Amino acid sequence: MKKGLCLVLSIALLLSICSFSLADNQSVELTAMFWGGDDSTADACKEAVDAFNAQNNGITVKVEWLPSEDTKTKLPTLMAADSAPDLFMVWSAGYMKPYVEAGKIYPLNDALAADPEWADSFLGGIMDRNTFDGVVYAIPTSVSAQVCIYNQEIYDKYGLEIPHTQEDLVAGLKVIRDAGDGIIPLAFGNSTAWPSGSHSETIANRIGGNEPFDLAAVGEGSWTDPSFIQAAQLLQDLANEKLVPDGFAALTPEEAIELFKSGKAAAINWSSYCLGLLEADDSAVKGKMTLAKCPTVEGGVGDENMWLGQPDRNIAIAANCENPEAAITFLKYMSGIESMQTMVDCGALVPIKSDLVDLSNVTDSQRQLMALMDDMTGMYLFYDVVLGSVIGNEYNNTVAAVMSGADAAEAFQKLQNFFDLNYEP
Amino acid sequence: MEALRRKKRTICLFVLPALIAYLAVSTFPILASTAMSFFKWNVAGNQGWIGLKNYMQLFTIDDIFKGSVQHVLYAMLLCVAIQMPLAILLAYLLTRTRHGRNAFKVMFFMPNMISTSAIGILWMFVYNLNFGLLNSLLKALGLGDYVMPWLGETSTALTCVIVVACWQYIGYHMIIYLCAMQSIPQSINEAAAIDGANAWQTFWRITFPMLIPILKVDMILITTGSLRMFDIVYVMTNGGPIHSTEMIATHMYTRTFRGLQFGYGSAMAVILTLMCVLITIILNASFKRIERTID
Repeated sequence: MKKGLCLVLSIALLLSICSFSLADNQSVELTAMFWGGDDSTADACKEAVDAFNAQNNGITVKVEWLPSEDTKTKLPTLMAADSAPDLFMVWSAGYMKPYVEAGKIYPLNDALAADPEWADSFLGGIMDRNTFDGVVYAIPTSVSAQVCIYNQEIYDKYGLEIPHTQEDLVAGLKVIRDAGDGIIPLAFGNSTAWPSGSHSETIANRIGGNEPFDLAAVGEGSWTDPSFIQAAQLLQDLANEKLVPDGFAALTPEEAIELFKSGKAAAINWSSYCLGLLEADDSAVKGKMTLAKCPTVEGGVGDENMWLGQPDRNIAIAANCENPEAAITFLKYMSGIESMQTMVDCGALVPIKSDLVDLSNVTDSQRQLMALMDDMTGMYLFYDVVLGSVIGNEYNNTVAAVMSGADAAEAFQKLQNFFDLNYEP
Repeated sequence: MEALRRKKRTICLFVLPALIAYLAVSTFPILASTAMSFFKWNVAGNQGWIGLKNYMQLFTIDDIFKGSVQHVLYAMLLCVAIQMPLAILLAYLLTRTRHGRNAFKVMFFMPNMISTSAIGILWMFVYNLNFGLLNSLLKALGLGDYVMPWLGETSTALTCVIVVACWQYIGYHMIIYLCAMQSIPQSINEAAAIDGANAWQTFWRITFPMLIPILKVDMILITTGSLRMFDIVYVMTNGGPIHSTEMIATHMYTRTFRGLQFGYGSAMAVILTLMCVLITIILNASFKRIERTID
């Protein structure tokens, strides 16, 4: 009995030693937390990750796919416990800032400097909002841009031109409203408050240009600037004139997109992520969409080639990642031409120069959007991304309140007070 | 004497693992959170002692917090007003039902068994402006003027969400009262019937006073539960529209996990705990007085 036990124990010991030496030859395994979901960009991302893992170059990336909203809870928790995954997706600017300041993200300047071809493949200025104190902390794998999409069929039916000014847009929407066919002029859904926020940001920029926000965001300007108040007021007018669906304050963003997708609405002012959904096979507007730059406002200083958007699906490496070189290899692949091609083919906008990818498979709306963005002079970010969660949400809520009937000047004064109390430079 | 002491040591030894688990999972986090509330604590870790600054901010500057306190107090009153009478009524009706008592019991308890997320989504559809059950019902009854986006209006959203929470838990409280009523000996009711008492008199003079201890426990459950309301609000409106359904728990969640202000969120958690303890003390004292009056 004793001899048998000794034999078993020594075999067990040998096996454990063997497994140790085997471990040295095993591939590097990286953990990642990326944004999953039902849209085509998530599918493209999954395809790219699978392709990377299939390369068998000794690096395996195990991804946890979570809806982006859920990562807003999970990531801070993991970060605070110093157990963040090796790679994760983040929003730019104000969302990333706390992690950068806490030293939880791996700086990428060295990696970019070591590979100039990779660094140069990106669109000019696209990484500005992922850069803090001159150091880049995340690589974008997609781009979102706020764009106006019109149902050409409906517009033709009422003999309307695609508008380029706010005044023409409103006039056209009124014609559709008055026609009495039950078509909703502007698809809209504000249960999450950010749709009204982003819509107001396009208008405010057309009225006052970039300066009011750039100053207000760092406490050197004012939230009572006329461009913000006027923009919110114009949205309130849209609501009062019944150019948006009844009960829009309770409609979810998904319902809003569905209104346009099913052909029940004539126009939508939304972030380009919805294009993948609108080009789905079951979409009633496939092939009938005309895209246009967000309209200018009469008397305003902003021009239509300044785009609202953000570098999207940014991937960052955790500071305590044990294999940063492997992570950088993966990062280069995810932002490299092969996986960018997969993203383009699935309907996403990419942050690399368009001449590096083959555009023959892009959808009609994608092609239109890329053509419109060729004249882009600059991109400004969604306010709540720059301002961070606390103040950003308040901006969205302020615009939502105005749209539901609050006095614009008062509401923005309240926002200024809130900003003064909560802003931390 | 020796045997007793040894027995005590054995008892302590056997209770120790459970005690350690309880302390680790329940007591220690509460104490740690309370300690965290006195520091400025964000994702980078402890940023330094700031004393009562978080609490001062909550009570003086934070308008959203003030609103959320009003909302939870409103929720508490509404939950007690809706759930208690209905639960007692349903329990009483069940004691008088002979056929299908179990079937009804299960039916009323069913909402409590369904996940809160599912209930939230279900009721979002019920409240939907265009195809929701509620608005369709109003239109069918000729009350089309009252059709509105229930969850989109700041004036109605809070009440609508609280009603859903009540709907979810009425069955749970009904079961509590049912058990209490069933433990009342039948002989008492029979004696009352012989003395000529009708149903209402039997209920009000005999059954109800015997329910008072259970009433106390149940009221504490309802009040503390409604003060801590989070999941149903999070699923249905997430504090919106424009903070009109913001509860202390949702505000705490937003500031902690979105705003990354762990110290500030901990301060809110401490205040919420103190509110629950205060309510429990007040209810205990009030019921003691009531029980004394009845005796």
